[in-house]
Amino acid sequence: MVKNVLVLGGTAFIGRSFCEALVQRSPIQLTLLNRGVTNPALFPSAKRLRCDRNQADQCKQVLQGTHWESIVDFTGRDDQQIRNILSNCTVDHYTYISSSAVDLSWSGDPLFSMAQNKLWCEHLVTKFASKVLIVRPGFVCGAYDYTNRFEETEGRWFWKGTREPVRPMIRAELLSNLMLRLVCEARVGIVRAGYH
Amino acid sequence: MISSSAKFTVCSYPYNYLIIEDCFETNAAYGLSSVFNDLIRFGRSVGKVGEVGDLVYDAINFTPTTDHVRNTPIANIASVELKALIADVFQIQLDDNVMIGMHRHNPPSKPGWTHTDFAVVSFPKVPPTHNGLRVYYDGSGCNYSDDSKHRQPETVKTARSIACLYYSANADWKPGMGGETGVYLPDGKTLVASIPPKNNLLFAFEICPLSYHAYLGSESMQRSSFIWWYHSAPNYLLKRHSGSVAARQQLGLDPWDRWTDATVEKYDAGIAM
Repeated sequence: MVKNVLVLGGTAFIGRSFCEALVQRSPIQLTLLNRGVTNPALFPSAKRLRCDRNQADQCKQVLQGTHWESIVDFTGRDDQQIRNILSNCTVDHYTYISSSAVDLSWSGDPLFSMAQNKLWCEHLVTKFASKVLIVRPGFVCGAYDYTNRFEETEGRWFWKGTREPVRPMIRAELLSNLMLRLVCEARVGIVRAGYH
Repeated sequence: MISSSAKFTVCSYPYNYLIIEDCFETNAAYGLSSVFNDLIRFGRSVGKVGEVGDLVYDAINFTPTTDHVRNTPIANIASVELKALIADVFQIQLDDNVMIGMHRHNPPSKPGWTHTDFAVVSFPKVPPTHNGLRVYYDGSGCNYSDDSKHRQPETVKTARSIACLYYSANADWKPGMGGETGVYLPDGKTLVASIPPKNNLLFAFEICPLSYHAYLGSESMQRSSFIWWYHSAPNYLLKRHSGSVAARQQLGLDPWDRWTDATVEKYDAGIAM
């Protein structure tokens, strides 16, 4: 069982939902690394590392020489953001939140560029960490969604103002619950969320 | 107990479900397949289900005895660890009651009908039979498929909350062979996903008034699966699914799947709050 986790991000949307589950239901010591801008008062029992992961010098100052049992990355979107973290520390198990677009998008799709970046990040983390869990969620609905895109009616989720169901879709709580379990057990592989 | 090579998938459309491929370690998966083939020989045709309508389920069923649960690889299914994993992922309060069955559809098999599994059931009022779980067994004198208020006053009333299908003892599945489990929209008619019956795959879904699903039938494939249900307090489930319960009630529909016909007074599960 993992004893301490460094969460990158963790104060908004799915990251917040995950950290909430972790703090409430596990004995794991949580450390948050983020800019300290979004919901800075959340999770008072967590240790905090203030850092903008886009800034190489900040990452070096905060992370150099550290070792982590587990890192959960909710905010990595490109090569430099991954390198800024993983070139400065070592880690036993890395969980990378990717996207369903890696599997489902195609050239010409508005999400294709993002999917390419996510796929590259997936490759990159496997170069740095020996044990990697990749999570590829579709549209995440539910707790702490700030995007204002979706609404729930009679237990189902639709694009706001329409009767168009959200697909591929995963509820934030369900994804967080599963992720917490898999992170605790240091599971590896690819988790698909919202599609199969 | 879940294999180190297990592959996880979760979905919430149109309801919450979990798929674990390569679910158990090889020895356990082999053991389950072996015991399935040994025991299903003693199974009986399911035939008519419940008292409502004339629906006939085209499958053979065997309900393992307590000895089978304790002393064969079926213990992997009736394990506290697996129950804890399921409760954890769905964040649901499960009671001690578990119903385990084994189903085989021989080809050509007809598709089943869509249903939700959201049903009140009965368990014998006895202490837990295995590892803190009260696993239903034939010969207990209790009819599981009973949601009535008065017929079995000496039994415990609970409700299905999580359904699990574990595919085992099947030929290697390929697209086109059929035998999948279909996932349907709340209209009970529109198929939106199908779960292939690959050996050592666990399909677990949260039962609610919208969790329509059905066996899809097969011309050529024999489809075998362990199936089991975890249970929760009926009133807790009404509250948990209050949105879909209310939607059904507004349409004048019963949120529960019923075993007994309208003339039978039903167990009062309370109201959704």
